[in-house]
Amino acid sequence: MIDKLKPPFDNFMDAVVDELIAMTDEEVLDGADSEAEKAAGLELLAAAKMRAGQRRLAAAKVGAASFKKQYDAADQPEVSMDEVRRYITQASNDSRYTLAARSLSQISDEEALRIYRQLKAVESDGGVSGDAE
Amino acid sequence: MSVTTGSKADLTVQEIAALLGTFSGADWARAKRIATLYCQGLDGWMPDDLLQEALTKFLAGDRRWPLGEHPLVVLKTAMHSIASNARKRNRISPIDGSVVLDPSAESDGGMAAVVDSRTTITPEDQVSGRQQLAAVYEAIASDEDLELLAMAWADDLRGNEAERELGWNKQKYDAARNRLNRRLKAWDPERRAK
Repeated sequence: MIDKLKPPFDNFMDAVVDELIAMTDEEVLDGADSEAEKAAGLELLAAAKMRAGQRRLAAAKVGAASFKKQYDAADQPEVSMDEVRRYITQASNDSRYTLAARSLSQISDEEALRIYRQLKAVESDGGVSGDAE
Repeated sequence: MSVTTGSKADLTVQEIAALLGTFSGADWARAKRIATLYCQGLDGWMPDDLLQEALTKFLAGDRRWPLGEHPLVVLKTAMHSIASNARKRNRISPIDGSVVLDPSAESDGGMAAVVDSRTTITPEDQVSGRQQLAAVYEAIASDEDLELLAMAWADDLRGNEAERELGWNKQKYDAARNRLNRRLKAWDPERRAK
């Protein structure tokens, strides 16, 4: 079916492809050495495979970096450590919570953050009798 | 190169690599003829570059290879897209072969050269489909039959239909088609762009 809306060059290229497909191998090669053409093509293919591998690796690295960034961002406290410690101090004075009798100054930021999240989780669940330590 | 099944699914990267590995010398020659035509006036690209970039995109999983399409059609579509994007980049990028570097244009009395992103009017600029077709006509202008054949193809005629429309017999049509193939084979896009 004739597609008059298609640009003439696109029509031309489509016809070129159809005609190349219709032509015999001998006509296309026109005296060129088939094995040499194949070797040159396979060389292009080998180079393309190598470049594709490099691109996939680069894309994987970008993906991993992006995931790590997101993960790290999610792992960051949404509040300052001062606020975390103030909250735990306040909770340790709240009779509804039972916290181990350790000085807040003796625990690391990571542990303080873990306790803070536990307390927050208990609070949001409505439970108040859990042991946060 | 006759792997067609009519399915709507895509080939996997491994299947694409395996299919390309079965290409004969003539298949690679066909793919290069197509690349040669798309490289007309494309600054900085040779047919092998274009074909290799198309292969890379398929093998990197950046482009789909629809199962059931003829491999040459799939490669043609990819090369068309890559060449078209490269032309757009060449037009908008100030760092390309057609940038004007004007040392006479001074800024604040300084002597620094000014890069002007206007493109000059050269055959390698603004290569639209019409201009690409004009380049094809120009390249075959010395052969009236080839011109007629290219015009028929540009009008979406081919094979028996084109043969009838041109009033030729099969022998004459095939001979003209073979001469056009020979021209493409000998075509050096970089030399023609100058």
